[in-house]
Amino acid sequence: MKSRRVWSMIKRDFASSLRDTITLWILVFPPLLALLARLLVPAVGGATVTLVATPDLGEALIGRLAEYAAVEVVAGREALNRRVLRLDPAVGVAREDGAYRLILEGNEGDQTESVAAIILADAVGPRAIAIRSRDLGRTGSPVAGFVAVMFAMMSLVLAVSLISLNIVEDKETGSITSLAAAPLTRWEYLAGKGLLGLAITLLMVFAALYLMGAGPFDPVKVLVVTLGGFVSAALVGFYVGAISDNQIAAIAGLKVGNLLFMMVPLITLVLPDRLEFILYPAPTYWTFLAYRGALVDAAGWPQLLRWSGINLALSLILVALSARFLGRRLSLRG
Amino acid sequence: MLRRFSALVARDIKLVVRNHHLTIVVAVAVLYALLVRFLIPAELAFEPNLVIWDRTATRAIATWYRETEPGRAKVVDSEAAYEEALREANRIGVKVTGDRLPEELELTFQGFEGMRSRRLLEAIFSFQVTAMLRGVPPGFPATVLRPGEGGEQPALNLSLVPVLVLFEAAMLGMLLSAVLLFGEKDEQTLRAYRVSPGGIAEYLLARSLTMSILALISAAVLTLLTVGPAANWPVILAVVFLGSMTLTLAAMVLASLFRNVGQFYLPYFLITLVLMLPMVVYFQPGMRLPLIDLLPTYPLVYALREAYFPTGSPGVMTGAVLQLLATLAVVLPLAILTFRRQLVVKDV
Repeated sequence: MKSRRVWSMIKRDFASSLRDTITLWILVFPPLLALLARLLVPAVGGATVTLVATPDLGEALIGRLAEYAAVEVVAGREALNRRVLRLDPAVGVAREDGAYRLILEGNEGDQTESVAAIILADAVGPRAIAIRSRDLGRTGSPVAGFVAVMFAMMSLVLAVSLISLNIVEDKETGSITSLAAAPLTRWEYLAGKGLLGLAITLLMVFAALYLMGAGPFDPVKVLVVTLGGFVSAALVGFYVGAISDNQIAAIAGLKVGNLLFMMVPLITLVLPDRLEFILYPAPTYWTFLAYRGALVDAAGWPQLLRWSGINLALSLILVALSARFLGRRLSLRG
Repeated sequence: MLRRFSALVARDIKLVVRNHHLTIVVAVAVLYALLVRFLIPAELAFEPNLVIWDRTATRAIATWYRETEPGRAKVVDSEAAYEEALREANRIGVKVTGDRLPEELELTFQGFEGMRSRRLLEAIFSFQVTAMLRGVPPGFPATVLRPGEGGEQPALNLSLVPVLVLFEAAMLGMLLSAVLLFGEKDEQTLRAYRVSPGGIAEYLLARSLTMSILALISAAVLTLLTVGPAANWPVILAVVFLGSMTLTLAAMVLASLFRNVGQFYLPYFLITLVLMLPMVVYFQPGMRLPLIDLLPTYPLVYALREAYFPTGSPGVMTGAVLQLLATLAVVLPLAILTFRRQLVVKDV
């Protein structure tokens, strides 16, 4: 494999992505993701309950309630009822005959009414016990960490999609057969596609993590995890590219490929520990564990290397098993 | 006109079937159903996130937590154990001091908790101690606007069904419809279509209908294999159909602005993420995000929840259907206008 030819392949695909403004989107994407994360993380972390109040409760009480929950102030009782009846579970707080009253729709979850009552009790009455707070001064929120993990996984999914769509485009435009006339082997062709995909992934992962303020995290650990996770991502991209003759078929392939990538982490979150062994054969399970270790749990190097090593080993086994098939389907000579 | 429309739908269905999309849609729905039925638990097993060190003689708070919420609290007996337990990022410490009964609580936060979460936790402890000391917890009378409502909360695995139907069924046509459009652009089929008597509206509605048929198949398979045949079928199918029509048309508007799938893919991915935000709110009901209720997926997820797990609020479904119809009434003319501008005027 000649590195000069691989480099030419990368330059060619990069020029093509510049022409198609894909590069522009890749540059715009992480800040937009980060913006989404900045919107999402405090909202998830601070979610308690939504209260609806009328101005007659008084500014002081409304202000106190807002320390515990999102408070929407509406003009009067009718507006309060209308708001409570909207789709999301919001609880109204009203004062009738000098006494406080909760206004419910009737279909709220078990906890919504009790949380609203607890908040109101604390806001209006003296506490039965003195409560003071201490702060350990840690800044890396687990919610932000999990959002970061999901964004990193999404970057891999995007890489899968871009690699496969790129290969299919070459097939559709006939470039893949034109390349056969050049002194380029199929493995150099795939290396070029893969390395460009890797560069895009790294750019998106790091830009998204830094811009969303994820952390603190060790960039070297994230780099190692991404490199480990990218092998299986690229393999999925090659597979979809290999089996699809057009973009319509590629989208069908991506549906399954992306599902493998995003479902495994989501299942890991809810699966009981005793059943996690079911996911052991999936490289994405190890990618998720390693990202979670690097971005949420501050895992040490031995653990991260073990997870990434297993991931890489599984991915390489899959590469070895797929080499013949990919070689046949992605032959530059048609 | 009807014959032209049927021919367009039949052609799209052929394309979808020939490229294995129907097979994959059914296979993915079956896979999701298997996950829901056999892999995702009915309840989440929580790690204990409260660390309680009760230094009073009666140990009332520690005992209460040990007896009532054993899975949520870890009770410790020494300062060393307390500090050690707080090393884990998700934990909050509760040090109880007093002689016989609790007199003061010191809550130890990690540092990243929001102000509202902290204040709520303080309120919960104050409430529990009041209940413990006085025997009766403080309460308020409640007015229920729709009495007699409120069904049972679904198990965790089943509560995912509305979200999966929204994501898998209602949103599945977004990318596929765009890809079909790009294919037609490449093959100049659109140019040929323009000289035929068929109009843009027919073309767009036929494409949306094809995607909605796929969406209905996916929703039906997923529903049958998870909640069973005893579901509110008319509402589920109506909501999925309308949702799919609306989202497919919206995706077609977006796709008409780009030359190929490569260009379209990242904006599409981003828009999908935004459209999925209501699902986060669905699982975190107290969460507020600005303008989220304007997204078409917002009424969709709530209407689907009501259809699968009724709480006796038919208004939710009516409201959702009306909002989807209103969105459709905006998106369809917008799609026709955009198509005329992007494809016909620019002679694509």
